[in-house]
Amino acid sequence: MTDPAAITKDPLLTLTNVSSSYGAIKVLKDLSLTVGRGEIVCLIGSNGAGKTTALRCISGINKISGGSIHFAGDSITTIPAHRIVERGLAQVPEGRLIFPRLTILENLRLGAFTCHNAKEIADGIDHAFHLFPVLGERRHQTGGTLSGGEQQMLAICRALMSKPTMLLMDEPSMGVAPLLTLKIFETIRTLNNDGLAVLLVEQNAHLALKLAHRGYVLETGKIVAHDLASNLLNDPKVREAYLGE
Amino acid sequence: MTTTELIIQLLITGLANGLIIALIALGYTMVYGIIELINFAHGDVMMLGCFLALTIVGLCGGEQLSPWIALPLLFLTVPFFTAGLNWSVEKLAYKPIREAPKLTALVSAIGVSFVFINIGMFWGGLPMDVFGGGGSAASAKSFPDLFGWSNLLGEQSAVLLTPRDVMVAAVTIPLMIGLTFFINRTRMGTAMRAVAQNPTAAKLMGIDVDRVIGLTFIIGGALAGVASVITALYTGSIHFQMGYRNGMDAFTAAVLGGIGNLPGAVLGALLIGLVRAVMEGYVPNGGQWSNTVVFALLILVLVFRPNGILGSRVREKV
Repeated sequence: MTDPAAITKDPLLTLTNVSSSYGAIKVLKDLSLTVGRGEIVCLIGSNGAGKTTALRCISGINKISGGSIHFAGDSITTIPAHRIVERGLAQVPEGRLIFPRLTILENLRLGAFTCHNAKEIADGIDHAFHLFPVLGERRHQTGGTLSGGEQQMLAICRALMSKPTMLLMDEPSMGVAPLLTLKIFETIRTLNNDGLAVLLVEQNAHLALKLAHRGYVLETGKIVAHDLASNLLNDPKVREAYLGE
Repeated sequence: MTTTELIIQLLITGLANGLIIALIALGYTMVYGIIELINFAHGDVMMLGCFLALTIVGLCGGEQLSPWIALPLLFLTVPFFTAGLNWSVEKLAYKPIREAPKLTALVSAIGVSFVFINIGMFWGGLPMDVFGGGGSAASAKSFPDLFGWSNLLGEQSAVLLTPRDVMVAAVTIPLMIGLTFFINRTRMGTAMRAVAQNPTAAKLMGIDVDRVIGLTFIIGGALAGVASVITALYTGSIHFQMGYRNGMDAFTAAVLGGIGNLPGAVLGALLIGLVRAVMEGYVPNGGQWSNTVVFALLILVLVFRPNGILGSRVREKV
């Protein structure tokens, strides 16, 4: 196992010994991980390993019972969820959580809720329609009428509306047709080339490890492996457990 | 009175009553839409608003008070009071138990309702002339008649249209248009719809969910305050138990139209107002049966449309 600090010279997000529980069940046990500026890091693991909980803790949706979370040099451990977006940390949540009875445009505008500059919001919407033209064609359609893939595109664009420096993505491939999944992963790479850091949680470990620079393997709330993504892809244990070989 | 005149008269009375119910129903349905709580104290907030209105009028000269002073005064102070009251109820009685099972908050709401009813009774016993000078606290208090009963259509007209009917429409309709605009077109209104549809996603957008819920109670409370002033002026009588009757009508209206649905609440309220007008103005002894008809209508609608007339609310599972 490689020392994360040695790999990430410029840490943007750091989790130190984070623990979290649902009632009596400990979901995360002393979880530590780091994502550097401009880096794509993936978190893989089986169902119930605590991947989603980890992202929800970072975004402040779930409370943590121990440890600390730092973003861009500041502690965000006790910051309420709605104050985290404005710091440049946005999330594309599991199941997308599109507002089903709001139009695409309204969904996007809500993504920019923390932004008060009309010009910036308009530019953000243009950018979204440029990334995924289908959203522009259906801008007045409500979120609930979109397909899984379209909702995922909308969820990504909605998160980008706050001009984040880092995106937390929870299962972007879930419920999305394979071809669209590839398109979405390509988009993540493009966004990353423009400097966006990404922490990606994904069931599809193969796709995730091919996209990411580094990866962490989570098992029952604990990090059990951490390495460059290319090394994890070739690790026999990871191949057996998560790549179906 | 010809049939046409009768129909017009029933429409005037029915719509005026319905619009008042609608103002209260909007408060029920907005709160339900956002935290899925039937705020049983809502009708009693409206009742306390009526007592404040009577207190203010009493302190300012009662019958002698010009409506041109009384109306702005009441429409500014009473909604402000009820909005603050409703907001405090949420902060003190609902917010601390928001994560608890829904029934807990419901019981809390019923408790607040009882507290308010008793405050209303105490208030009515204050030794002021308008309250009967410390007489029976539980009796109905008559509200000074600031409008008179002149017929705007001329004294020989069979149809009666009074200044109070006009006042009801002139106050409630712009308010409802304003509310629709706020909910559908403004940033905070959109945030409110977002919280109603998915609070977790709303938090991830940077929306302060607690603030939005507080704002919902403030708006609902202010609407109830406007309804208290109108009701007091329109019916000319207030009573510490009126929150129950008015709240029940409004709650029924909200369910009838589809709870959580704003146009539905207004539609349900107008329906109830019209049914009551027909029962009280046309059917012999119908006034005694109007509750029966209203609730029979409710049951009938719910049998065929369980989500109400305009409701198609099926909570999206994620």
